[in-house]
Amino acid sequence: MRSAPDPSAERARVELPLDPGRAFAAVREAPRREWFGYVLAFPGVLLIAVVVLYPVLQGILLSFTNANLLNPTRAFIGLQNYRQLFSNPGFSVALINSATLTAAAVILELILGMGLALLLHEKVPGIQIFRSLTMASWVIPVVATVMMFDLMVLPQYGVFNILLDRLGLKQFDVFWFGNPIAAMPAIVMMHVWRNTPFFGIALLAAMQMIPHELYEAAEIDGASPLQTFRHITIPGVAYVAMIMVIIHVLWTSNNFDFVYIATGGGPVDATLVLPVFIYRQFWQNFQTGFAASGGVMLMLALMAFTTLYVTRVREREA
Amino acid sequence: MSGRLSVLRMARVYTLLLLYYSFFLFPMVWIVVTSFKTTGAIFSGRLIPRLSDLTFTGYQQVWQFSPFLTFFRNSTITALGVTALALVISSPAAFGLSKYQVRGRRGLIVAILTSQMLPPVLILVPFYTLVVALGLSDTYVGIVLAHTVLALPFCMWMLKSYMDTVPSALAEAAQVDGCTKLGTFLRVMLPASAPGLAVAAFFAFTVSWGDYLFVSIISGSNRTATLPLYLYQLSNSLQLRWDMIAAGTVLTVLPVVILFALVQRWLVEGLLAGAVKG
Repeated sequence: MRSAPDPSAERARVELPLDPGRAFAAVREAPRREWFGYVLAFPGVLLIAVVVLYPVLQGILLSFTNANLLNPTRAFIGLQNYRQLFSNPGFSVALINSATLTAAAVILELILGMGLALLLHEKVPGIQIFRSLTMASWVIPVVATVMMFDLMVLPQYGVFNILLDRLGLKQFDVFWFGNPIAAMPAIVMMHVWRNTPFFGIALLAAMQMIPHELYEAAEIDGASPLQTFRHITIPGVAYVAMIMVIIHVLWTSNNFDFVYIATGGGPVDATLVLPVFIYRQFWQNFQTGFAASGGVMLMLALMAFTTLYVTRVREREA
Repeated sequence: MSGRLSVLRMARVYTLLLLYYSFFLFPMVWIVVTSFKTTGAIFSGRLIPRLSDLTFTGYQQVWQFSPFLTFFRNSTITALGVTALALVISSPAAFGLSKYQVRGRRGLIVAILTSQMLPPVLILVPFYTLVVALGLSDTYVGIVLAHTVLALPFCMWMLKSYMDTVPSALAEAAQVDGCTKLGTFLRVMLPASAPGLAVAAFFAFTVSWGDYLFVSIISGSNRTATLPLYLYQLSNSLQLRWDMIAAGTVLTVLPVVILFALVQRWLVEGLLAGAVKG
């Protein structure tokens, strides 16, 4: 990035660990206001501004036009895209599906993640191995997760269906991704499989921060395990839980890859979620402006959710 | 507190751990097993494979008779490019935001966080127009740029949180000792933030390695397309070869798992610093 290496950087070799006395003499706790800070931050801020803010503003502008990939001319059409959006049956289906998927996945992740955190909090021998394995499902590519589950839900030969058959439930032996009733639960299952570990690990970290004296005091006062959990553990992890819920609501409702790769939004729109709906308008119908209006609605919905949720939690804490 | 757990409680904990981890690890184990099976065995309905069911045909087919290697190369080039670019841009920015009083710092931090909220599909539409206008469609540069943008806010935020925990005294003392500003950043701050950098690098790499959406739009042909598109194409071809899909999936996941093993002990700390603080 920076072309000429600073020659003075060569002679200035710093020895670590530093002499603490000298280090403290030099401390001024407040960060300094200096031109160098701007130099450092500039490229990153510029890139975020150009490639994130610009597309968003552009997207909002586009949503008021009849822009089309196939037609180079575009005209300002006011709110017509939004009117069209609300009368489009696909949009309302996608809205409901997105809300259902997000609510189901995040609630399950929170409950299971809480259970996982409690388990990983136990100091049994070898627990470290379990803790370190946990994030594996979160780091692997979404497309790989879809392939794994696709393989398991194949009719007759998928392991889930083999097990169903052996249990005598042959009538439920279907290709889950291709079945209007089973497709959405299968998508929820994939989200839960991927994200529960992150909930577990984050809540575990929060539990480890709770001062030990609180538990000891509770034990002395003769509190039951349930009371301890209710009055010490839950308040102790509440903040982290809130952050995790927000992040995952955003991630889940913005996620395109899971649904598109697994079902493409089908069968018969059973798993049509907003990102897939928008992608279709853009990439199949070439209606850039209309697609952008869908994207803006999704963004507004998420902003509204985040604001409401944070205020509600703050109110309850106050 | 009683120092040792009762046997009963330990048994209960292990049982629950086993239950959870068998659900959790099963899909991965199952696809690895499947990747070594013959097509006949995959469609036999047998849960425990026989010795005669096992084969390397899936891997052989993927490796020799499919464009896997092209996609693998594209994925590697793209992901390494994204990792490098994201680090080069985010680490100085994080240092600036963490240790200097930049005007509008709060606003910037809020902007970084809000950008996480934006639907990728909303960014996609204008981004595509931009990429086409710059002549970057179907190029590595276009894809690297897109993925860097996806990864950058989180990398910046996470590194900033990490650098907040590095004592300012370290940087100050270096300057007292005659280190230049740039030297302080390169020789003191970066080494002190090594775990944070490792996690940021890993995050950027996995974002790029796993993305389907942006590659599917920017890359018009197999010339630049990455592994997620390869797997998608395999799983949507007319003749489904599950041995090949399974082998391809395993080969796609493998590099990520290796990197995960390397950064694993810092990953949780880093992710939490990025996700939870503030």
